[in-house]
Amino acid sequence: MRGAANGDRHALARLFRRHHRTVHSLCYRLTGDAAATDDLVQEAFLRVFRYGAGFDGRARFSTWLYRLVRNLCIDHMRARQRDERRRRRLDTAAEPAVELPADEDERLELVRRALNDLTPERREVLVLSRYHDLRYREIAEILEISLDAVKARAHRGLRDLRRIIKELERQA
Amino acid sequence: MKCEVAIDLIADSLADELDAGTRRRLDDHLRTCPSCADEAAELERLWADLDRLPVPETRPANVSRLGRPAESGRRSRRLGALSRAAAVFLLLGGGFLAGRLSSPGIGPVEDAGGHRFLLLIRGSAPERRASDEQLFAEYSDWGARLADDGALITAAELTNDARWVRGDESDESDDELGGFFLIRAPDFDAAERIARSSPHVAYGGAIEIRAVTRR
Ligand SMILES: [Zn+2]
Repeated sequence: MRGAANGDRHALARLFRRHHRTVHSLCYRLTGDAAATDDLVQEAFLRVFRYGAGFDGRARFSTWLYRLVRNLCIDHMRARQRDERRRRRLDTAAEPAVELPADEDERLELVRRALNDLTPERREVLVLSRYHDLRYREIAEILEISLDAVKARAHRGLRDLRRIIKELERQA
Repeated sequence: MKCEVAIDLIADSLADELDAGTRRRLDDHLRTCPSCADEAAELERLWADLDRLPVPETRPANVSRLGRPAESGRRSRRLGALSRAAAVFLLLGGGFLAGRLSSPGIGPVEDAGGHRFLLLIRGSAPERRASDEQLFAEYSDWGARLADDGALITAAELTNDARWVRGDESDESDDELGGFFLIRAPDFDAAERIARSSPHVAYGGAIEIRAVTRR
């Protein structure tokens, strides 16, 4: 990362190659917004390159990167909520749901919808823990919250997920 | 152990956050409590299902166009993959290229002679597919070569938002404008050669070349 901060293009390319998959997956899992994921990934790397010099080596690079991506996704979701509120006020038709592949089974669709229904605070803990194999301790560092808060969100997140899936199954 | 506590410990266990002692106590509870054992099985299944949720592939084109309907007045332009790659590359204008541009030997164009040309990076559907990684490597190498040759004056990417002010008769161009390069070249042909050597053109994107008036 030092290299990227110093503007070494090979370091930038290496950085991109090494972290692209992680950033892509994180952006999608945090927002559940397939249509916006590629743009978010691009914006994330733009920020990494721009603010790379702001990485001072006190945290681990991965922690810094996770935090950056997470903040970006939170911003995106807030903007999306504003858009949705405005659209509802304008009384236009709701945006169609992102289409799933035809072979997607119903169960996974339920799980996906439930995950998207979690509050952002609970979802991000679940996503970081489940998909990025991060320990509670590391998640606490990324989110800048206490270990107990991470645990509480992880517990409630999984409980919520179970509850929402049950509700969806009842509706079906 | 209370069932309430057990459920939370199951979550911790799935996240691999349980120490051996607590795990044993949880296992003891699950052996004697059928309802928690059922819940553990359900949560385990859910945990496995989460892992099966697909992440959409990065698609070289169009994926970012699926988004929002056009709003009147202020139109949000979502960049296609090609323009995204161009933008990643253009950001270098603000990053490492800036360092090179201020380096000795590359002064303002007036001092160095030659003509200035504006290369407008326009997007369109790519003819061949490539990963973001590959696009990034090719685009950044091209930009670095330009800077090394002393041809680059400045570059910048443009944001996704565009506003149009126009008379009734004019058409809005469909081509996305991703950014621009201001370069120095001996003449128009040389500027064209530089534009042609860009991976952006190789991928089916277009570059509009405009000469800048001399002072
Ligand atoms: Zn029990």
